[in-house]
Amino acid sequence: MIAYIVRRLVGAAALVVIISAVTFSIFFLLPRLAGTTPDDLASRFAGKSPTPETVQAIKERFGFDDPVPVQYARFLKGVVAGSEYDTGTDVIDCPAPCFGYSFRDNINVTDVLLDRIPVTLSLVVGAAVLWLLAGVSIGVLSALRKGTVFDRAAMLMALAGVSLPIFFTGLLSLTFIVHQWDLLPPVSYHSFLDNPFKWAGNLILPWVTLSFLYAAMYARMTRAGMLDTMNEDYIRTARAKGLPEKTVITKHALRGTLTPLLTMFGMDIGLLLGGAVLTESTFSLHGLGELALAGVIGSDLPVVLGVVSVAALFVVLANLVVDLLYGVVDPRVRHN
Amino acid sequence: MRDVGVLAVTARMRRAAAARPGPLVGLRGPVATRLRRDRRAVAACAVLAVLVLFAAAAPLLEAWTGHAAGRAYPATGLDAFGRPAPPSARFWLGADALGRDVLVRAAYGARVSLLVGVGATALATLLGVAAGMAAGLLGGPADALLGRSTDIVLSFPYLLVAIVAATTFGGGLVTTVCVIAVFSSAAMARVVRAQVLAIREQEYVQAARALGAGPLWIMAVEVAPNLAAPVTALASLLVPQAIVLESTLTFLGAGADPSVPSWGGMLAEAQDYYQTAWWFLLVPAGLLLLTTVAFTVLGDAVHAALNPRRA
Repeated sequence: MIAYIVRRLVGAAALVVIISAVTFSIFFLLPRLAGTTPDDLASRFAGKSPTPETVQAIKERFGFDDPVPVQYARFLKGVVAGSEYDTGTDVIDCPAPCFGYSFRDNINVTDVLLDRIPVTLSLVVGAAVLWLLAGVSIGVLSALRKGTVFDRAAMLMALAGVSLPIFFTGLLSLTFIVHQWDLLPPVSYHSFLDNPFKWAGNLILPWVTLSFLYAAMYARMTRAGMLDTMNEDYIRTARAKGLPEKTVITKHALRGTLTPLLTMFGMDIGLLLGGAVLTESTFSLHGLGELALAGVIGSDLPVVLGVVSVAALFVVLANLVVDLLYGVVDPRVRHN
Repeated sequence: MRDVGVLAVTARMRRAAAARPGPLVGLRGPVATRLRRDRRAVAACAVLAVLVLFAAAAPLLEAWTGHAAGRAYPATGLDAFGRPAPPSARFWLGADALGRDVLVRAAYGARVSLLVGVGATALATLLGVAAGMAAGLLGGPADALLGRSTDIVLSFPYLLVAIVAATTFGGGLVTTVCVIAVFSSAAMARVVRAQVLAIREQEYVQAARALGAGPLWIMAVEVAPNLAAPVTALASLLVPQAIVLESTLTFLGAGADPSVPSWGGMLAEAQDYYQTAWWFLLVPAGLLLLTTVAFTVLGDAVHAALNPRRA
């Protein structure tokens, strides 16, 4: 088991490196293919309307004329060992996990990331709890009451949920629930440690909006999976040997449905932890996704690179945890 | 007694037919028959047909209403306070903030959504099937390579990449379609690979191999026809995803060109006006919902027709 975890961790680390390399190439290679010169790149780092001297200095300092692999190695070295940035007037020290330095905002990317992660984490974890509870229970009930009014109504809601873009449901709920009817306080982020009630109260709306979409997907998947498993021979066997229906459903049918759900959950939560871009920008929550979006729009490459690397880390970690959970959910899975 | 004999014979024939599966997808196949009997599928098809007609009739609507899609009509489309005109005989679905005809723009928007949805899915299917079949056929390192690259693609924040691609390559529909296709193709490749691996071990494929069929023959004749079913099911579910993704990208300003009327663009413009001009928001949102729901229902129906046990 421990050997398996170690092997998976090594694999996960490799995947993070590859994803960051791909990101690096996308942000550094694609613009070059599209005809951007190192000068343009340097001026992007320099922010709006820089002087030619600044551009030249940045170009030399970052080695934009170097081949891409060399530049990527430098980025990796910064993450592992930290690095220093010489701005000309003074030297900025960027200690060990150094994801770069944003010259646009004059800020250490690692600091911004650490600042933003709790926001996204709160948003996603809260929403995940909601959508798992709602999605799986509605899916199971729908499958058991297939064809009834409940099933039809639930599946109709789920259909609307998966079909509506989040910026639409978000804007609508924000307008009516917060601004028009004053049912909930305006959306904002407060630290959980300061005041848990304020933290939850101000995040309810984004939680519900985000989980509506995912609960709809999970309800549909759970229902389909349950209908599939309920037809399996082992369910008939379980019933035939006289187990109460409750046990058949929870211990036999639901278990068989959980494995694909778990796979999906790992991917979804990993991707979202790297930034729920739409939810965050709709509700003006300053999380990782909003940071990345602002970075992309403002061509702040170090910031984007930092967010994507962290996002990749979350994805890989989530998948790892899910793979380990397989063994708990499905005893047939043996890690050796 | 004779009836029983006939029944027994047909049962045997059926079993023989099942042993060597014919293509499931086809106008006369069992799937098509089940689909035709599924009222939801028929309704979804009808809705989609109307939407296609709506998109195709965009120039006709322009001619009938006398309103060009890109032109503003402030004299009739806006009231004295500059507020957009509500639905009326002149503006059937109202006017937008600049006094442009919402109906005409929505019709042109339908073209964008349908084209992107179907185009991106077609491209994704092409890429995904090719990659998945290659991995399933070659196995070994090629298979591992595909597995890892789909891992990477699926764990990538695609929205950001799409925006970066739009800013580097100058936005527009071609970029949008390509980005959506690349990200959708990963899921397709996975499904196809899994199917290829499962089909390869089927008895009829082993029989063909024993008769001396080469790997290419097996892929083309034995495996490919049986991929059609799962590929169709997944593709019909990828279309609504692509449509929502396009409108999202356009909403964020990284999709269709703002000069092209599109539902995502209209939603973005309507953001600041929906309290005074509900039609401005409701028309594109309603159409978007209608289209994605129709495609999703159709996809579900195809899926159910392919797996009758689940339906």
